[in-house]
Amino acid sequence: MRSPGRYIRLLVWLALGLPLVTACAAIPTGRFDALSAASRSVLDSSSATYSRIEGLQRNYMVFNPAEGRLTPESFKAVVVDDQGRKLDFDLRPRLRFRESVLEALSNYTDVLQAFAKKDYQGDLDAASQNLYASVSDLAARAPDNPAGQKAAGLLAAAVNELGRAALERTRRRALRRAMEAAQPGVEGVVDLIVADNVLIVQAVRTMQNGILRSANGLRPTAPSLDRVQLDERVSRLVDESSEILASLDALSRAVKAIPRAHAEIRESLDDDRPSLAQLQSLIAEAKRLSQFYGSLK
Amino acid sequence: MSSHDLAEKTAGLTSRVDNLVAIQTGPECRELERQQARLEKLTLAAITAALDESSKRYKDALAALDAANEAIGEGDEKMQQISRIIKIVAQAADVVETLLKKAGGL
Repeated sequence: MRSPGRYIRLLVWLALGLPLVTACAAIPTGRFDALSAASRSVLDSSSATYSRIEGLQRNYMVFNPAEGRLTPESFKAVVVDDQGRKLDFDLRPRLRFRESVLEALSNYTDVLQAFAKKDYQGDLDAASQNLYASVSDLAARAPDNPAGQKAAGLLAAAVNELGRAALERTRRRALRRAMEAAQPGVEGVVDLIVADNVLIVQAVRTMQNGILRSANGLRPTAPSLDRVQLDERVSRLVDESSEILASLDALSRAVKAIPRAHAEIRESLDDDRPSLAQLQSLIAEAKRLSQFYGSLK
Repeated sequence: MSSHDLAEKTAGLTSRVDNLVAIQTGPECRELERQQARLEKLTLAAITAALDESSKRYKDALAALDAANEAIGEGDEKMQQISRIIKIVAQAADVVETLLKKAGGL
């Protein structure tokens, strides 16, 4: 019957050899943090900009209510075409839809980040320590094996290393698979958002022109306090629409960067060649443990 | 003509009418302004119609993100399974120890 020590020795070599073969560059958790932060920033900025556009639309309707006497319907974003059909031009639900799409994109990057960083090792470390304690205790009750305590430590370390390697391989594989599946979706969402921003820019410019046109019709010709108050209000709305246009431009540029960043992170997960420093460190550790275990015989 | 093109063309027309209004006076000017206001709203209606058409195209892109989230969920389950297996290995030693205590009065 083979001695338990032989099995422990095999397990230790396996535990040290496995990382030697499969050692990977660490998962770039910092990049996942950055991708998540960038997506969240785009979402937050878009939400704020869309809210401002809704405010601009309200002001546009105040300056351009439906023709005729004022009624509760006068300020609704509706126009009747030549065929008598009511056409709705309320931007609010369309903007809220785009906000929910950007939220889905941001939530996806949050899921990636959480998975890339989730601590599965904590449970593994606790389990390895329990194993060490149990095996140590067993070994201590065998007076003919004074090296038992040391072997317990090696066994626990081997189990920990095997578990850690298995966890990281699985994590990397899952991330690669998920990001491959998501890449067309990320590109699709971004292309559509950028194209829609062009339409939204047109809407903002149309509303700005409409406010100015209406204000010109209302403006007192002679200098007066009424004229100053009207001018003051219109100038704020002109500034508001200029800032909205600048925000939409910045958002389009920011969101366009996301697909490339996502693809680069996905490509970096393919780099599972062991780093030289890791290999050298593992080889040195293996030699040290081999010499140490040899002294236990 | 796509909704996107229609929205662009009506926006361009609104702008040209605006230039006309600037050089008109009298009743023709007021009628032109009224038509301009109406044209603005029709432009906005064309833009929202184009946005509605675009909304339908998000479906496939969002489905790809859902598939990716599911893949991560499966990965998470696999990772937890590995952790559970290691815990079982560790607990096996506990069981052996308990049995030895009972058997040998250690």
